[in-house]
Amino acid sequence: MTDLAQRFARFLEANINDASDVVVEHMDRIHGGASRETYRCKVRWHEGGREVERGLILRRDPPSSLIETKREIEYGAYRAFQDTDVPVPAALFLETDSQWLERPFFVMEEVAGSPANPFQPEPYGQHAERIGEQFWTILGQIAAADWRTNGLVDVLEAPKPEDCWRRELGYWEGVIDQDELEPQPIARAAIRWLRRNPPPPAQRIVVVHGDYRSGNFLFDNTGDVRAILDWEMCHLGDPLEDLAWAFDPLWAAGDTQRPAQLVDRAAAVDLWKRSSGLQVDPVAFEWWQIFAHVKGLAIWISSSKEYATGANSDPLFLVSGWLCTDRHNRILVEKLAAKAEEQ
Amino acid sequence: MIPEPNQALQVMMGTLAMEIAVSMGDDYRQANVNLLAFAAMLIAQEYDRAAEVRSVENCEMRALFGRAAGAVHDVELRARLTAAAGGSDPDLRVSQLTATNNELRRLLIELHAAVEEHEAAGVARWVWAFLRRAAERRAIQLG
Repeated sequence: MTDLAQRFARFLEANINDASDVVVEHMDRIHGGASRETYRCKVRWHEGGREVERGLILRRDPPSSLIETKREIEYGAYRAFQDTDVPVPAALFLETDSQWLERPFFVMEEVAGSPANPFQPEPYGQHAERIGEQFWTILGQIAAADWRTNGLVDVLEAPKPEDCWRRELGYWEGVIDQDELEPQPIARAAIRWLRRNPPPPAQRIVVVHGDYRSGNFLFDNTGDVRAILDWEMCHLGDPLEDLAWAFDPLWAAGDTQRPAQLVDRAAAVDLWKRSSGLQVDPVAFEWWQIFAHVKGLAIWISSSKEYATGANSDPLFLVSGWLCTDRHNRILVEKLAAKAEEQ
Repeated sequence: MIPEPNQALQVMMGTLAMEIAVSMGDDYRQANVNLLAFAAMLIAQEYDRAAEVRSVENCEMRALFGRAAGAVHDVELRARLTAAAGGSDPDLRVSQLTATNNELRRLLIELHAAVEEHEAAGVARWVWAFLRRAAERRAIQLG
């Protein structure tokens, strides 16, 4: 870690205007954010005769990732929402030259706060309602953002409203095709169901965070949401995609009545509708919820493959592959078997 | 073999979580050791049930194929279902049971898609009932 800190210091010295004597301390790897290696550190330097100290987060491309994502998109999303009502850490540097840290990386400011563990019951304690109001409101604000003017149009492609579902389903089906190491009869049946029952076109093309859920934001001990994180799957698409992903019971320790273990379903939908100015068509929303389970399965199947093939020995890949595949298979089989019985 | 492998893994889980993880100063490594301890618990659970889960599933899928073959229009698929229905598991090693299980699951996916296409709702319900039982049988028990 010392070597990484020294090399990072050299990068900062070359890239911060008028900075000298840059020292990087307490460089610690942080768990989570499995698409990139994430490090927290304290940085001190001299600038114009004074000493500056700042906490930074370094996100470096991994040798292998849980999900293949483009760092330009993640970095672009942080830039797009800087200085808006959507709280994000300031994005400071994007470096694609591997000479500095062997692999490309980007740098953000450190934000004080903690993430919740979505697999634990009641991770927000007495702040659940207060955080819930912010969490669902912010998701609506992301959907309401004007991507044509905030810079995202430069890094993201806008699908036609009628193509959103097909593009997303095709992408995640492709991931399963490529990464499954054993047959997946539940995922395959779910994909066929999704194709037989397409949703209506998106009511509007919006920014989709792609992984907006409990565990992917920081909050403080007064119940304030401080930063929305993990934008690596950000894209333009149907607004119900994000809402459905955030509603997935996987992120609520199995609680189906209070998505993300915050406020109840009706309150969550109302908050989102109010801040996004959008509607929730129940048929379309059901489609996107089933899609969310399939997308989850695709991620866990990839995770299992990474560990099984030795591409990544992080035990997070092993445990998430086993545990979450099991959970999403059971969620899907209950929903789809019930539908089959209705026929 | 005493202790049984699953018992040994459970003891290892305790050592990893209660002794090794707590003594590590680095949060990232501590989290990794805790995850390895958790994985040891999952492996212990799987060791104990792996052969039974696979052999029961294989039997159930063969029985399902035997019942469903008559409802399948595609002659070639019907023949493969009938052939698979007559199979058995003479080799009880988990690796062999898993290989057979994967073959049968691939055939199950084909059957499921075929009966959906021809709206054979009764057979589709049998498949869903099997998948539900299988998912329940494979459910990871926590705590």
